[in-house]
Amino acid sequence: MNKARQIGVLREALASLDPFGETGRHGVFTLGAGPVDAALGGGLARGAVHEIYPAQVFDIAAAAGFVTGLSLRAAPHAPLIWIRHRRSEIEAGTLYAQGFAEMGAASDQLVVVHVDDVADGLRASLEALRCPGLGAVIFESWGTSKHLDLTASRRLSLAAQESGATGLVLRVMSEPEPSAAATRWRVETAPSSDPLGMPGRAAFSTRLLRQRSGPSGWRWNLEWNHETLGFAQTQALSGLVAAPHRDRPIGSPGDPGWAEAG
Amino acid sequence: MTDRLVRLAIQDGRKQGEHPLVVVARKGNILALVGADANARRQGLRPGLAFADAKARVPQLEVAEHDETADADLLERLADWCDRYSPLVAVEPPDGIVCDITGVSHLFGGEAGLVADMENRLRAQGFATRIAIAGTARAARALARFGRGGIVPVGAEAHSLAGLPVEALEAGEKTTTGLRRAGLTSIADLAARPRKPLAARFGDQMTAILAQILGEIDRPITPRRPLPDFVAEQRFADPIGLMDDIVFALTTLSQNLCKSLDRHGQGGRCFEAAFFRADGKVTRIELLSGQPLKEAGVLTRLLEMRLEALIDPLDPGFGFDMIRLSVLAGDDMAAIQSGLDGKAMASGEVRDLIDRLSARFGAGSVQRFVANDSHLPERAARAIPAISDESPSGVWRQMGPFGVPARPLFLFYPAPTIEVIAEVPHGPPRRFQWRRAWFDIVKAEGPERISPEWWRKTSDTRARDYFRIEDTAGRRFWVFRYGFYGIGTEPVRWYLHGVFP
Repeated sequence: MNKARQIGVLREALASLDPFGETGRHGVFTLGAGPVDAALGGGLARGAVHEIYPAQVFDIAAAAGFVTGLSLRAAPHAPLIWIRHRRSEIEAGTLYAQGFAEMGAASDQLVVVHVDDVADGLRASLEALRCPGLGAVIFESWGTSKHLDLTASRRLSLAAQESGATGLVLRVMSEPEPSAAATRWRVETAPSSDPLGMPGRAAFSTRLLRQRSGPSGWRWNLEWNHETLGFAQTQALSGLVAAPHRDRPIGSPGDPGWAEAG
Repeated sequence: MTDRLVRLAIQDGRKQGEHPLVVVARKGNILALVGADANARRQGLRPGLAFADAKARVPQLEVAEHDETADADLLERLADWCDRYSPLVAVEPPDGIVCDITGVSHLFGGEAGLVADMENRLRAQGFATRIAIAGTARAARALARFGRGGIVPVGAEAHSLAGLPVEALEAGEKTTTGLRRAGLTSIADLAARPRKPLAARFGDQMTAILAQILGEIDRPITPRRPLPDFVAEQRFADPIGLMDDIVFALTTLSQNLCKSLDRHGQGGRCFEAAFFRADGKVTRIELLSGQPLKEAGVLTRLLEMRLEALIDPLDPGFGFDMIRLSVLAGDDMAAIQSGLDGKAMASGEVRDLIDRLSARFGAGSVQRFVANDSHLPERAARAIPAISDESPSGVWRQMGPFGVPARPLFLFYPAPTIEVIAEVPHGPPRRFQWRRAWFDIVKAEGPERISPEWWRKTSDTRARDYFRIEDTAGRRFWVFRYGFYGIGTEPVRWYLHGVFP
C-alpha cells in the first residue's frame, strides 16, 4: 500500500468520524452557476446548515430571495418550514405567497412559524430539522442572541445531518459569529440586468465569507431564474475581489460595518 | 356572598367572626340586606330586611357592600370546580349551581357519598352549602333554597317537597302574593288542586314550574361547557405537584383515552386537560391537532410541549387532586385531511411536526397559505393556521411577462405611506422617501392598474396604479399611487406595498 493511498484511507476514516464533514451522507446540491459550484467544490452540502447574512435591513428581501433559491436547489417542491422572528415581519414585511410562487416555489408546501424571540426560533428550528421528509428549514433570526451560539449551531448541524433536511439560517441584524455552519454568505441586493430598462429578475450580490472545506472570499453576482430553478452568474462585479483565504477568520476586517436601524 | 368576604378576610389574615356580618345593597330608596352570615341569621337578620331595622335590632354589625361581579365570578369558579363531579354543570345565579349527576354517583359511593364529599370539600374551602338531590333540577333547587336540602328518593318529589312554601316556585312576587291571598301557602296546597284553573289564574309558566318541582316534567340544564366525547380522569389521594408526577399521570391518562378512541375508530382533534387543584382552582389547557390523533405517545408529547409553552406556568399550589383529559371534538380516523394540497405534504412526519409546532407556539403562529380568488394583492394569498383543512379558492401565480416577477416576496400590509417625487399625472416615482431614507429610482415599469372590488363593501373605492421600481443600489420595490392627479378633491397618496428580492 503506497503512502498516497494510505492517506486517502485515513482521510475517509476521519471524514466518517467528523460529524460536520464537508459532504456528509446526504450529498450536495449545485447552485446552477458553473464557476460558483466549482469554487464550492461541487456544491453546497445537503443535510447541513448554511448561514446567510443580509448586509443591511434593506437587504433582507434579497437575502430571503437567495435563501428561497437555495432551498429550491436543495429540494425542489419539498415541504419547507420558514421560522420567522416577529421583528423581521415588522421590518421586512410579511412573506407573500404569490411572490413566493412566482419564484418557482410551491407555496402550498410552505409553512411559516412566527416566533417571539431567538430562543423560541431555535427550539422550533431544532424540532423542524429533526423531522425527516422536509426539504429545508429556514430560520430567520433577528439580532445577536446569546442563545444562537456555537453550541446551538452545532445542535442545528447535527439535527440537519440526522434528517437530511438542509438548514438555512438567515441572520438578520447580526455580525458573523463562530458557528458550525458549513458555509457562510453575505448577501446584498444587486442591480438587475434587464435590457428593457425595467426591473428584472431577482439579483443578488453574494460573498462567500467562509466555507469549512475550501477557500472563501469569493464574490459573485447572481440572478435567480425561475424557469430552470437555478442561479446564473451575471458579469458585472463578478470574480475574486480579495485573495481567497483558507478558513478566513471570523468577522474579518473589510466587512462593512453594521448600523442598528430604527 | 358572606363566604366570599370571610375567605378574603382569612386570606388577608384579618380577624373576623366577632360580630354578625351582613352585606347591603341599595334597593329603590332604602338600603337593604342582601346577605347575612350564620351568626347574623341566628339573631334574626334575613336578606330583604331594611338596613336601618337590622341596625336597630343588632347594633354591633359588620357591614360590607354588595359586589355582584365578584360574587358571580366566584360562582363561576366554583362551577368550574364542580366539574370534578359531572361534566354537566350549570350556574344558577345568584348563588346556586346545578349538576346533572345521572350515572356518576356510583363513582363517589352513591348519592349520600357524593353529598358528603361535596359538603366536606366545600366546607374546607370556606363555603356554607345546602345540597339537594332530586329527580329534576327545579325540585333540587327548591329544596336547597327553601327546604333543608337532602336526597329525594326516586319519584318522591311530591311528597318531599310538599311542605315548602309557595315562594319556592320563584315565580315572581306578583304570583306569590296572589297565591298567598288565595290561601295557597304551600306546594302541597297547589299540588292538590286541578292545574287548569291555576294556569288560567296565574299563567302557564307557574304550572310548568310546579310540574318541574313535583318531578312530573324535566327540563335539561344548559351546561356551561361543551360536553366531551371521551374522558379519562385520575384522582389522587395525595395531591400531586411535581412536574414528573404530572407528566406520568398524563401519560397514563393519554393511554386510557387513546384506548377508548381506538375502540370507537375515532381520533381526537381538540383535547382538553383540566387540572383540579386541591384548593378549588381549576386550570384548563386546550390542545388542537391538525389530524385526528389517537397515538398515546404523540398526545403525551404534545401535552408536554403545551405545558412547557404556557405563559403562566402551571401552578400546582398545594397540589392537584384530580387530572382529567377529555376529547372535545373528534373525527373518524378514516377522514383524511384534504388540506396542504393532498400530495407531498401528506407525509405523516411533516403533519406530526406541524401539530407539535402548533401545540408549542399556538395554532395561530404556525401558518400555511391558500390562494384566494381575488386580484387585490393582499387578498390573493391568505395565511391560515397550518392545522386547518381549508381549501384554496384560487391558484398561485405564474411568473409575470418577460420572465420577471410581478409580485414581491414580502408584502407590507397595511402599506406604509411614502413621500414621492413623480412625473405627473401618470408617471412612475423618480425619488421616494421611506423610513427616513431617500431612494433614487433608475428603473421603473408600470402602471399595473388594480381596481377595488366594488362587489365587496369596503371604504377602499379608488383604483391603485402599481409600479415596479429599482433604485441605484438595485433594491426593487412595489409601490402604488392611490387616486389620480387632477381628478377628484382627495389628495393623491403613494404607498409602498412590497419588496422584491
